[in-house]
Amino acid sequence: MPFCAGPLPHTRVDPLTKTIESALPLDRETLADLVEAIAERGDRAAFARLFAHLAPRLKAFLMRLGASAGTAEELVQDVMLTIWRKAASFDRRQSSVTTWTYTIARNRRIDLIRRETRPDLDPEEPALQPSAPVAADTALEVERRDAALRMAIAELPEEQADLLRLAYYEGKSHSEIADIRNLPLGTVKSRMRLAFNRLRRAMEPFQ
Amino acid sequence: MTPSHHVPFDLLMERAAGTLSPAMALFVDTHVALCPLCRGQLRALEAVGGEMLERIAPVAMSAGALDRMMALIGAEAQPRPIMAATGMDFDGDPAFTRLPSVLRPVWARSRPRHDWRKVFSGVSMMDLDVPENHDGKVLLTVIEGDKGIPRHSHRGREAIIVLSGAFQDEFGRFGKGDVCFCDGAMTHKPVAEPGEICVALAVLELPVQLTGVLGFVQRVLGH
Repeated sequence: MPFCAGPLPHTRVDPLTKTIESALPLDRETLADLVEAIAERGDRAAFARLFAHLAPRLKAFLMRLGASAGTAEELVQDVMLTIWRKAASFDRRQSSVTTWTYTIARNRRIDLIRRETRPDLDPEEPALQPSAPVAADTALEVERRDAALRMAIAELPEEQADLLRLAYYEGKSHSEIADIRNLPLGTVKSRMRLAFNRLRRAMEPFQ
Repeated sequence: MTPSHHVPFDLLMERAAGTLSPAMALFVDTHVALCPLCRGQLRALEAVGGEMLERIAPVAMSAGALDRMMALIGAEAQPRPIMAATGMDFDGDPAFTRLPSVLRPVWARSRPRHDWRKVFSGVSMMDLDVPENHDGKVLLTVIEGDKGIPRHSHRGREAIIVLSGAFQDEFGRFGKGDVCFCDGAMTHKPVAEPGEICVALAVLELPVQLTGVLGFVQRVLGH
């Protein structure tokens, strides 16, 4: 059985990813509950649900970055295994599960696609370090911040959204983006900064 | 104390997107470990990455992927608790105890292959092994109090971050967590403040070129 259903009845075209967006199958709190269930009691059913949500997204993400379908699936397995082993280092008050997963995938991609080797999992990997405790009310702030960020991303002008896609989805450095889009490097950097300033302004009230 | 010289926002953006070289990624991670301000900014930029991952159009995993995954974790009884920092043998190395935790594994994997070299009076350096770093060097530098590195220019770009103690040069005072960037156009003469040793991490694109007599010696020696 495939893990992701086709487009759901309530769909819209996402202006950033230019894809049909389906309703989110699992919300932020549910995802965090699943990771905590893994951390607390090695809950395999919770892990399976998490896999169903994250694996197809991670696969798509890694393929956009240039991995073949086969390599992408291997990396997905790798990232999910890391999540299983290191679930206890996740802190819902610090970030969402998707952001935590993103940083693990990003760092593993740097290790694996660039080095083309399979180093052992680094126990000191920064994404896996337990973070300093934060005040309880910041958890809600982080959640509001992510919601504001989501809105702001959807409203970015196309020329800025384009650069974000190239950086995050295709792993292009600023100078590579300048070549691809035939823009001066300074223009790429200033547009990037414009985009992030917008996003930052949206997040500011919550920091 | 919060650093007063920060990494530029461009570098935080590229770190979040994962497009820096491993050496520069390590450099940014080191600053972020010591700077709450930049840490907050990087976390926000990573949240953009998380949002990008959340909204990507999913691609179905192949048949049997979940079964293979469950078999893989089935081999592990329980998730492992987080390990405390591994008790590494640091030979009483004075630099080691001053490293932020992000640098300790790099130090541990480099130490068996590289020794501290006394480079000048009161100045020692040790190479760090960072993958895919063909055209540069990553160095740990220890400068004893009141000692310094002779005036030098740079053939390539150099990024320096102070991990402990402080140094001063023509461009200012650099304390714990502060970064400075040098390029070919500038020369400087960093001197550690009296007292505490100054430990710094340097990412060099090309070997540093010394000016003056030592530069001549360096060129003769073919470095």
